[in-house]
Amino acid sequence: MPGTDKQTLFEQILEENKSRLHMVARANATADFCPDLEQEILLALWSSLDRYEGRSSLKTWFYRVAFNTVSNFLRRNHRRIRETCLSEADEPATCNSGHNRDPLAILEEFTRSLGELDRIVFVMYLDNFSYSEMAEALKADEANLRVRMSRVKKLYESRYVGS
Amino acid sequence: MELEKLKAALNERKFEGYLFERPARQIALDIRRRAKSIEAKERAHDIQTIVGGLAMAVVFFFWFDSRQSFWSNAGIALIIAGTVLVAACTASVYLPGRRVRFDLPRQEFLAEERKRLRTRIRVLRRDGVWACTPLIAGFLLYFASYLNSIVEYAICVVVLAGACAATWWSSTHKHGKVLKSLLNEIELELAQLNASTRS
Repeated sequence: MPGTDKQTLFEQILEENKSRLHMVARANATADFCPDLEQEILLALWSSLDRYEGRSSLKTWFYRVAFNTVSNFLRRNHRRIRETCLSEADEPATCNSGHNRDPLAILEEFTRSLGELDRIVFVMYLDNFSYSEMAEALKADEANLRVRMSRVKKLYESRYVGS
Repeated sequence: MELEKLKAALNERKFEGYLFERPARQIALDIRRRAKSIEAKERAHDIQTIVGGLAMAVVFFFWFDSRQSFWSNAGIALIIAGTVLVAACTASVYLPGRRVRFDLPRQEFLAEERKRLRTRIRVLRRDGVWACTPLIAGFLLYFASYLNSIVEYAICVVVLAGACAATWWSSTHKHGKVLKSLLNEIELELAQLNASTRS
């Protein structure tokens, strides 16, 4: 971004998006892989910052960089992550209903069962993105995103509400 | 827990971890340092590939000798051509593909990744056939002119064939398989995205 020191801008982005970054990482990787994924996203944000021209909001730009990094990370570590998930699946579940559970644990468990695009849409929804903002960030059709999200909501409710 | 409650709980929640325990300035400095060290490593790898390839070519160049037979010198010429081709192929894949555009919209990003992977697969195949063939033929010609018996020649052929088979297996089979599965995943994801954009 012209006229702004890269490091200062990065610090600002980091300060504003810490929780967002952590949520994206937790939604896309198990706790073991979370710090690695966070680091990769931070590195990708740093290297992409030179090309940020301010045409989209920082929040939208952040998500683009983060989800593209996640996509690469998951493809590269596919086998390792799957093995961890399988070993975790062997452990007995402590509580299946969603009432008193840690929201992060619910997020992690639920997103693991979603496809990549559904996961992205779900995390953006949790971050109060409007459908038009999602469509802009993903360059996808808004109506399609609504349908997608409605399916995800139904799936969520069938698992965690009223059980 | 209802979805809206989950949303509210996550938005209000205080998270833990190094991101929240360390000041942003410190994290930014660490990331800057790591980015620089990655860049330096990549640059060193590129230089190593190019300079290494050229250095090998120069070393082989000194094997030329007018007192040697025509076939020995022809073998050396082929070895040099093969070495330069391998270095050029490797550099042509890694040098332009270093900068990943994470800031691109998803479809464009995946299309770029697909292009990069296709190039790598193509070069791996090309490396195996077009670059390694002159290299191997060159070694065969060169050593053949120094060997005295058919047994020695047979041993030389077997050793070279073994080396070729190992190279072929590691580059085409192993890497090709890994890269191809990555390519398939990207193709699938792109097809899903294209479908959701069209509808």
